[in-house]
Order: sequence, then structure tokens, then C-alpha cells
Amino acid sequence: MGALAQPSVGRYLNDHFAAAYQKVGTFRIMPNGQKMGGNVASYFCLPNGRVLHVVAGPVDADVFLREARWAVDLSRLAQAETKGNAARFTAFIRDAHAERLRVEHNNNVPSRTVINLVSARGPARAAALALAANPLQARVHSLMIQKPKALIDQIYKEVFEKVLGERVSTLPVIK
Amino acid sequence: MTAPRSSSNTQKTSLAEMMAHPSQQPPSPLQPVPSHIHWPVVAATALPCLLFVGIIIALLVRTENSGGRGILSAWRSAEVVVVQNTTSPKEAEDGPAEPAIPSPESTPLAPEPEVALRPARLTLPGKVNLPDREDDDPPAQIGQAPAAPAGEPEPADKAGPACQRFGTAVDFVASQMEASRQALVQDKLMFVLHISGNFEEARFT
Repeated sequence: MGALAQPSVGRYLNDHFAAAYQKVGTFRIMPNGQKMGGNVASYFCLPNGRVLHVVAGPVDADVFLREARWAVDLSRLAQAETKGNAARFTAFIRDAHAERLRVEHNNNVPSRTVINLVSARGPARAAALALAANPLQARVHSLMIQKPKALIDQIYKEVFEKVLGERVSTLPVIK
Repeated sequence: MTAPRSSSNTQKTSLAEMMAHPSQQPPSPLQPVPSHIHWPVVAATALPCLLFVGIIIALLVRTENSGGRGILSAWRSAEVVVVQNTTSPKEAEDGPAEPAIPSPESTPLAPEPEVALRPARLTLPGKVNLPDREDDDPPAQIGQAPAAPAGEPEPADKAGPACQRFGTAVDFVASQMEASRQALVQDKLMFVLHISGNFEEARFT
């Protein structure tokens, strides 16, 4: 929890978010004290649980703060642009993640092509699967393009198991 | 020569003759009619009863005059209550009234000490006089932040009463539902952290 212990991160999260935590997995403690397994995922959501952005895996304070600010700005801009229109809000979120996937992960796929991948088959499907080989955040952006209006309860398993490669478990920590 | 008959002999003979022949006896107005009521017995039993009743009445009157709570006053107050219940509550509240139920300590035969007669205030059902309740208790502290475990460096815990930081700089509430409610109320977004292990213990995160 290095990033969350930083005062700047704590100050920003406390000002703009209501925070909660949930244990969704477990890990094993080896005899030498080393931890085997386990991971973390951070969700930035609307008050009703609709996911705006996800940070998969542990990141440093600067990256975490940048992602948190992007989620806040995305929410404000989407509400200002769509003016309460649900369909436009969904499209705005999807386009925002597509833009980041294209710009930050050096993916030259145009936004329109990315949108077509939602219901695509064949070669387009292969392209979508190719995105799965990218780093974690690219996987997150791809997931948000496919499910831009999903609730946290609908995608947390996919994030934890398919993006992070962990297993959702209610077992206690195994020593 | 025979002796002349005396008058008594004549009366006796006449009486005897009358008794021998009752039908020939004339009725006498002065003779009492025989009765089936034994008046001496009646007098012997009635007089003590009358005396007993007289004593009781005298005692009752005495207790009434002395200002105690006798049975007569209870009967009178019961009549007053019945009359007052038929009136409006405001009218019943204004006038003085006597208690409907007599005191259990008072007995009709026991001599009551002389006390000043005070009109008792009629209390309507549901109207209870309670002293003002002052709320001196401080607001309850909910969700006090737990003490940091020994040897764990962490910043000063400035979390609110309903939040915990668990060694971070972020105020975490108890559940996602609570975070959703707070976000809605405070016009914020919601941040949910999904982790493996027990977040409360540093060695498990």
C-alpha cells in the first residue's frame, strides 16, 4: 500500500472520493515469510457503482494519482458534455478509453474500428484478442471499451482473473 | 227455708251457664285478640340491630365532618368523575376535582387525623408531568480508529469517527454500500479497493 500511504494521494482521494475496500482473493505465506500470490485492483466509480476507470495491479504514487485525476476529470467532462443523456454518457466513456488505448499504448486502431470490435467477428475479433497481450492497463482500457457502463460487481471478477491473472477466493490467508 | 242466693252466686251461675254454652256468650270489646307475633322476641332482637346501625351512621358522619376520606366521600367523588367524563376535557381541566379512587390506606372505620382539605388536581390520562431532560451526553463516537500495531510506521491518524486508514492516508469506510451513500450525499465519486488478503493487517496485504 505504498501509493495509498502518500499524503498527496490520501488528500486527493479524501477530497474527491468516498473510499471502501473489499477482500476478493487470498495468497500464501511461504515458510521464509515471502508472499505468494495476491494482487490489488482500484476502481473509480460513480456513486451508483458504475465503473469509470480501473487501475490493475500495484502502481507507484505518481501513476496512481494521475489515474485518479483522470477519472475525476472524465466524470466531470462526461456529465458536462452529455447533460444527463445515458447513451451519450456511455459513448463518451468508451471513446475516452479508446483514445487512451490508442495514444498511450501505441495502438494505431482508430476509434471507429475499436467501437466495431464490440460486436465484431473474425479478423476484428483476432485484433481484439491481440490487445489482451498488452500490459495491464491496456487490458483495462480494452475491457472498458467492451463494457463501458458495467457496474463494479459485473466486472470485478474479469479484472481480477483475466486481467490480473488471479483467482477470486474467499479463503483466508494461507500460512 | 232456703238461704237467699247471693249475687256472686248468681254471677257464677250465669258465668257457668255461659261457659257451658259458649254460643250464648256475648262478645266483649275490651277483650284482647290473641296474636301470632311474639312481640317480646321481636323487641329483643330489633333493638340491638337498630342500635348497631345507629352507631355506624354516627361514625360515618363523624368521619365526614373530620375531613377524612370516608366511603361517602368516595361515593361522591365517583359521582363527580362520572359527571366530569361527560364534559369536555377543558372544562374538566379547569375545575378542581377529587381523586376517583380512594386511598388504599384509608379505612372507613379507622379514625383519620384531621388534615386540611385540599382539592386534588385531576390528571387526564396521557398527561404526564416529567422534568425537563437535559441531554448532557456527548455525541457517540462511532467507529473509533484502532490503535496502530507496534513497529508499524504510519502517519498521524486523522480519520473521521466512521473511517479507518489501516496505515494509509485514505479514509476507508466500513463497506461499499456506505461509500456509495457517502459519495451520493457529498457529491463525490466512489473509490473501491479490491485486494488479496486482510487489509486490516499489514502482513496480509
